[in-house]
Amino acid sequence: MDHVEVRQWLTDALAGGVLPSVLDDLAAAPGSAGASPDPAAHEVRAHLAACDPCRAEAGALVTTGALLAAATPDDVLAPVAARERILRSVRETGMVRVPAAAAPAPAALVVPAVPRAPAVSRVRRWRLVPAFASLAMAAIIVGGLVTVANMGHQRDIAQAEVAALGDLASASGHILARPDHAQLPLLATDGASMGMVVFSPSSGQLAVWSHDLVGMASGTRYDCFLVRGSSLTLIGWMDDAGDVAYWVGQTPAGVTLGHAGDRIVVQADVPGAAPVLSGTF
Amino acid sequence: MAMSPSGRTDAELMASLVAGQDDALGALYDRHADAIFRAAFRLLGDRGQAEDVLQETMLALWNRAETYDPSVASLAAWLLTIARNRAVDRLRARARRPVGTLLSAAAGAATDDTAIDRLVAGGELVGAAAPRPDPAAAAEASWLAGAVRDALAAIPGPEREALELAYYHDLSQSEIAARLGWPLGTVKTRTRRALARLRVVLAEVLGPDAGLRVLPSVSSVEAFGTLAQGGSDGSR
Repeated sequence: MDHVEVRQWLTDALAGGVLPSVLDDLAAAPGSAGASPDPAAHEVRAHLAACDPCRAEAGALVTTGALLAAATPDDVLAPVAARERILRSVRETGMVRVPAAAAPAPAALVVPAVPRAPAVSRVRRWRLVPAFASLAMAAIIVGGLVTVANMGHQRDIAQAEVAALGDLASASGHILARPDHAQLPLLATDGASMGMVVFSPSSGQLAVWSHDLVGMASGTRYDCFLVRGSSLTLIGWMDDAGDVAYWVGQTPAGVTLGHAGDRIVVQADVPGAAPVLSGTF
Repeated sequence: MAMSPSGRTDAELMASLVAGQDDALGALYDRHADAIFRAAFRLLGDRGQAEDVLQETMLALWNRAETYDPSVASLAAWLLTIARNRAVDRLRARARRPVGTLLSAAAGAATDDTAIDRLVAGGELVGAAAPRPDPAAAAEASWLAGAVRDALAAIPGPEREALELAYYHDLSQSEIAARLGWPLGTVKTRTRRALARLRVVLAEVLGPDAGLRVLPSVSSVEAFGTLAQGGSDGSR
């Protein structure tokens, strides 16, 4: 692609309201999770890597897009086609709700329906799981509850942490109930076991947690990555639930966990940060 | 308090949801989805990501329905706060990605903490959408949005229409061509030219420093054809 074609390609992406996603795809290494299969995207990526003026032009388009978005008029509507997909997804992945009159006696762990910590993204919740599976997370829940009790903060903060731990327990229990589940210890830099990854390769479900992320309470964010060779794929950013930092959700599209030599690392979201937790498959 | 066509308030629909009445979810979606999507799109500028935020917000509504307290905030405010948090998470993640850094640096978006920087990177300016907005950030956001609307208004009608249908209303180039009776090539040309023209106008409005952040290069202007009024756009 020449300069004109690259700029037209990026301009068309901006006009279509998808430039940020397109740039996300371009940021992914070819062949890695998240990379676009579109051959044109590979050409654009290669061109931008070597062309300062076109990178500057792309940056200007990003800024223009942000300005256009900020001026979005009030008659913009959610896509009609999204409605059924979203409602179906919510019913399938959200907590089970049973009509009050038809609710049977509880036979499974019921995740407390209380608020969880805000600003949780990329989190997928799964249906409630049998009680036996969630017992695997009992120690963490108890630890979290003790922490909450000791903190003595407002009730809503405690409720949020309990709910977050409930989410973690539910998700982890669901993974542990799958026949192909596996675990990967996360080690601190001194080799001490300070966390755990549980995952199910067939379902792509993943839970990561640790008791040892210094600075979470003061606002330091920690990101979780899959490292394969020189490729780094963001899995998610850790949430704070009292003494436990965790992330639960789906692995990125196209990524299968468990490849020998792959690593899961957790590091602070600051420039130049080194992994504080690491585990190798 | 908001009422549904069937006369049920938000609080009544939430109570129905908690009681396991499945149809309440659809009714709440129909009432609030557009505003949530719009708010997310304003922050993210990406339809797919705004749709993801809408889905996550509806999931939070479903999972946390018991916690909603109408005496604290309206349901709309509660949902928009959730959506904003989700969108800001994405903006911050976007700013951390290598390509974002690369492009920002190339475009001159350094560390001067301008309103546009914060808008693009997801800093304080987006906080204007928060329940307790920073007045200065809200004023900046309002001014920028007004400047963009003015700039759009300065674009010739057909070009503006093509851009607005594509960007804001999610019509493909083929759909725009069918709706407006234009050849496909004309749609492409007018859309690209609208963006180039918008950038020129915005550059003037934003001033000599910030304006450089959006100004198209000379070669880009040449690539998309003349921006002169009435210039050839391939239409017939």
